[in-house]
Amino acid sequence: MIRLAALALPLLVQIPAGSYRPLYSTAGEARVAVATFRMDRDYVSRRSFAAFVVAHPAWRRDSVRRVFADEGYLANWAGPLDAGTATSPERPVTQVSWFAARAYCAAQGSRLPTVDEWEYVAAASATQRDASSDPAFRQHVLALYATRAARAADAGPVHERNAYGVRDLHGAVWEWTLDFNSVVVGDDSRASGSGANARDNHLYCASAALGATDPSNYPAFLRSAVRAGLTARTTMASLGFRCAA
Amino acid sequence: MRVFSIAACAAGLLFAGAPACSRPEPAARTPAAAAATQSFSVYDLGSTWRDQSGATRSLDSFRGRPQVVAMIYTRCTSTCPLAIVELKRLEAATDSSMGLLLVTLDPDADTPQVLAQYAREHGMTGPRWTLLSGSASDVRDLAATLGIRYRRLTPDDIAHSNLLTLLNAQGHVTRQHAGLADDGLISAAQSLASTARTR
Amino acid sequence: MKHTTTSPIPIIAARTIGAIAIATAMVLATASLTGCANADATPASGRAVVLVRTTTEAIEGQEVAVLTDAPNVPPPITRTHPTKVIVNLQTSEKTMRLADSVEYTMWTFGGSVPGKFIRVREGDLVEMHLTNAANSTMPHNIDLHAVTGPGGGAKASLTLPGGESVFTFTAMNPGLFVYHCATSPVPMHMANGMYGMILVEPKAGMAEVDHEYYVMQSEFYTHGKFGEHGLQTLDMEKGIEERPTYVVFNGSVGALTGDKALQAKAGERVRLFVGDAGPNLTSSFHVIGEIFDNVYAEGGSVANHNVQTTMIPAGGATIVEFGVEQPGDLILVDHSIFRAFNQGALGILHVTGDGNAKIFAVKKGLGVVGQ
Repeated sequence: MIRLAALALPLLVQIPAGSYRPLYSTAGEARVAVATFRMDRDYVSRRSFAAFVVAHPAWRRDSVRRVFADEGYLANWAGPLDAGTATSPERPVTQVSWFAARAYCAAQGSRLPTVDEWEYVAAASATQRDASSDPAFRQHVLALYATRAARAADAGPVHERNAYGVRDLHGAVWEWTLDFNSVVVGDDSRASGSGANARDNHLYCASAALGATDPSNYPAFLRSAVRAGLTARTTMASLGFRCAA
Repeated sequence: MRVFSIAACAAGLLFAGAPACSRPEPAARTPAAAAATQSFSVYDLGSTWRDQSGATRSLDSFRGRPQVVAMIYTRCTSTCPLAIVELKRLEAATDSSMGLLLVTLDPDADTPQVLAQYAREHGMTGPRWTLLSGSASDVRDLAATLGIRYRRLTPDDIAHSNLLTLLNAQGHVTRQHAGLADDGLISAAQSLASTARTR
Repeated sequence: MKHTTTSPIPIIAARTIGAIAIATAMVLATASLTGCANADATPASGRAVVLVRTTTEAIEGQEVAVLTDAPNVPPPITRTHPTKVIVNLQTSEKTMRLADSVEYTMWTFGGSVPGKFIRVREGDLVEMHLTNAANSTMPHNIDLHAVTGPGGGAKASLTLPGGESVFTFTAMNPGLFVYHCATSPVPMHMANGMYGMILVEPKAGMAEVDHEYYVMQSEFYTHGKFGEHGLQTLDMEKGIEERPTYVVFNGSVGALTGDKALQAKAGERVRLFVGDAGPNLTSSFHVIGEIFDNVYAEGGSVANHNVQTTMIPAGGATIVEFGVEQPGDLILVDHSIFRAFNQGALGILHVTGDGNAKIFAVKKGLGVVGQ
């Protein structure tokens, strides 16, 4: 039974094309179009990632090149190939770098979702595809973020399914995106100042805020702040991923 | 200075109550000035590029000489020329033991020929200068590794961090600086160059 | 072809205003300080000048700052020279008591709400080491209002879980200052408990007192009603509407009552370092049964005297000093009194010892039987 689960192909959910309102609009676009794609129904589990590492020894924690992952890479495992028993193998794999996540997805013939794709799907509540302006949904997501640590201690997965059929986007961990290092900027008209000002990186401070389309979208601000902190080598105990195709 | 700082942050708070001062630069995992040498070599990315002469260049080929690195694109008319001014200040402040490396964020437009023309127009000729173009994926990898953020806004515009990175002869990041090169960056570059000379 | 930068027009305006202000300040300072060897914002003439400050004093030695949890305050500084002070502060996220049978996952500086109290001397070079616990879920940073620099240090200190950032600043202005997290979204980080205070003692030091205490008022916005049991989470709608569920001193209901009441003896001198973290409300700080002998309003350098209630802005602080003459319970409140009665903004300063009947005596009334 367990072996079957490990060998089963990841379940991909077909996401129809559409658009969403990004936290930061660029060049005056209120909404960004997202083409149809497929997204893993579930986050990548420790069990699945362990299978990947066995098949690709270059991604063992004791042989990974330091440029591809910082010192925290898989440091929460019992051994280089042993995800351990203290945490359920069905919990999301964490302490993986962007390079490692990308390599995993490539090995499945897929890729990481873009920020736009991820946010587009993450705007869905259990019943609505675009619930981004629904205060109750926002409140629910904030509560999920606030109680992740407590629920992570539970034995099993969370399994909260959204309107697309994708599960646990908010309830478990932060997730890597392909272009996490997209710049956060104000819109074009406000950015037409002199070059001298552009050199002054104080201005990220304000320009990032000025570009925000909805100052009440706290869940999106939180995710954006996490992404703003990352480099491709970063690993975090609360950061995992899923793939897209 | 205080007046300005407060004004900048207040604007952030006022307009959206938002990312006040969370910069899109990479969060520090080391001291803020990134003065501590990182434990990894950027050259271990292992990617292969083309320089302004059209020659194939592996990142490995840069080993042995410290480099100042900036990521720019040639159609950029505002911040990138300023980055080049800074690189030239660093060129003047150091000798030939320090390399100067520009990598395009727009590899589709910035072919080796375009980069060569750009180098001529901006007086970035001579053996110390390298301008690189590569695949979009390799550009993204390098930017993501150096903590450079960028996003294409229109076909002609790419918003991006204006970050100068100092790499030692092994390709380890020894210092990063946003905006104008300060005295600390220049003296760090001089010290790296002098280490490389005596080696 | 237009290049996109990251500089919005409002900031260009702010910059210009800043430049004008700085230029003006320089002119004023130059004009006013001619022949004045000892720069001071309040010279004998009584007319305030605007200073463009610089650091000229040599930094001697180095020490690691003693940090304390509320209501305790680090010991007074006895040094007479500036030194390098290393401050090691860790952000962490943990579930703690907000009221009886009510818990909240607080985001903290140093594991408690309010965060650690930092005490330095005017002119000190502070080396701030901000670490973020590996099991945190959020990046955090610190904006100290005592810092002259970008974002009060926030720009230099965004720190991922498991990471560390370091920046230095010179404590240029004496006073009592709030610090807080400024990571996006700022109101959430503050509403979850990320604030504390830093005291920059003036070079001349502070008058000796018998007790110093650290008190910080703040609000919590929970999805459940006041007193509703269980783990509560942030209700951001209540935050936006400025309708707090809790208004408390030192991070929870009852943090300064019962066994945890502040203590003094009749005849002693008390100094309270009082901050208001907000995130929204201004405090009308009052101690029932006392009159403040000295109030350093807004944490600044000028003392007002004989004050009943002092206003503390959100993101501001004040220092109040008074002698306690009578035994009994002095009650700390926000005199916006529903907050004290219904939302938790109440603390006790318990005074023991002998009273002075000339100052206060009950002669007749419900509490006085048989006289």
